[in-house]
Amino acid sequence: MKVLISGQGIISSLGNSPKEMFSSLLEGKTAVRLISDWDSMNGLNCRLGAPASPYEISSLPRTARRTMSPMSEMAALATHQALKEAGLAIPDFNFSKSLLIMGSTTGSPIGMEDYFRKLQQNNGVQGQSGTAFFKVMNHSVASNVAVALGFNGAVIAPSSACATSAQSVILGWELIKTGLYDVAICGGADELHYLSAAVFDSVYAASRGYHDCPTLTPRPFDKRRDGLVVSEGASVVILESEAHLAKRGGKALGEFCGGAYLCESSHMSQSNDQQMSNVMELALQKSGIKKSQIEYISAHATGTHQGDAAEALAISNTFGSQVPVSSLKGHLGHSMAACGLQELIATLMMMDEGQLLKTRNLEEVAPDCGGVMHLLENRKIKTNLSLSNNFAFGGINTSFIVKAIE
Amino acid sequence: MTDYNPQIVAIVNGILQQKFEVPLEKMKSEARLKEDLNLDSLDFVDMFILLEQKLGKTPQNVDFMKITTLGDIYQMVMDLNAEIQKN
Repeated sequence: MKVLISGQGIISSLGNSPKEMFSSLLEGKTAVRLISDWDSMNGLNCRLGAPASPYEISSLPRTARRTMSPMSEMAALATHQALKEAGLAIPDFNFSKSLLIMGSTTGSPIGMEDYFRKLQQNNGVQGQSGTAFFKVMNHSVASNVAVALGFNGAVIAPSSACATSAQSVILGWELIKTGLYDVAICGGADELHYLSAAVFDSVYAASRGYHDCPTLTPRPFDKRRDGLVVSEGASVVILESEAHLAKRGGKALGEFCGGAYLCESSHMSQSNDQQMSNVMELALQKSGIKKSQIEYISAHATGTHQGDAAEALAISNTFGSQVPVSSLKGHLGHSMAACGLQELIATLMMMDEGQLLKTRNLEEVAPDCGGVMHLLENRKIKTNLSLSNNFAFGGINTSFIVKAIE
Repeated sequence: MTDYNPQIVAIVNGILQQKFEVPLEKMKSEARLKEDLNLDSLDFVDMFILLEQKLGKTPQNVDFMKITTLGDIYQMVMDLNAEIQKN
């Protein structure tokens, strides 16, 4: 049984629809800029970020908005887009066969900062809003989207930092494949906050050397890369069993062929090329796809020294140097929990439009990132099968494969 | 017909309009909080915090089951204000 993608929704640093984002990507735009609010943040070496494009939340009812931080707002808007494209409305769902799988790196960091500031100021919990917890709880995004939609099916909230939305969609695929579910709304979201930048900054994984020219960083696979830049956004796709989609006369945007997640348990933050290869191999195996069929690889490569080198080596060892590879982090920044599906959506559009996107800011391939076919320019080429990687702190490695609809 | 303190009514209505997006024309003392104004217990908590910021004191030991109309809110705040004045 095939699992098909019937809808997609995006709030991103480069546009608030798949079409808008892809158009910006094609033009080689970047959203990275100085975040002046972070200038006063003692000890923060990276003061760069890629904020989401402005979005409008007045379409959401107040009773939904009151418990939302920006990550949930963006996720709700992206979900509405995805459902609209799929031609699905809430009354169409058989809740006993429907999933909503959506997560974020943590609960809202904006909410947490506010909560703990009040806790300190008031020397206790006096003055805490009745809605505060619903923003900071780990399943805030999933629950808020469910409430905003009126979704009464199964809600699962994976939280695996930068692999969150990749895990969401792989889990959705697995559960639909079992036959237990027909439809899965899969997504991930994160909001921009200095705490997110600080997490990477503290382990020397955030970009520090480009504050006078922010658009030149991050630089995935480049010789002069010096770390990632955090972003924000929400990405959502609708997965459906082939039978369910056919029964309701829906249209597929692509096929989710399969994916895998494996843990790299030897280190909390450092990448391991062998484990990265293993997860790509397993994704191929689970999808029933041969290596030779893969025509494009969407790399996770965020612009860090160690991660990019390990991934390039893993791709080289697994696929050789004949498959085009690019990372979109140079355009979009790193939207953490949203990036897996952000890149899936971009990859579907690349296949649909017959245009592979380059790695922005990749000017000189670093010696430790060689051995693969880097895309230094956008390339017009028709592709049908792509593999996408996403890796996260905590040793969470994921890889999945998507296919164009012919 | 209960006479409500216009100052208290203005404070409560201001909070409801600004924080809870209740249209001014719906703010009638007989309006039911849940059915007419779309307010619930989560909103009460935040309303009390805002009232505390305005009045310097928060309502204590409130029996939410008995607060069903906007008039009940006005009365509760009037009682609270009287208590503040007394002390």
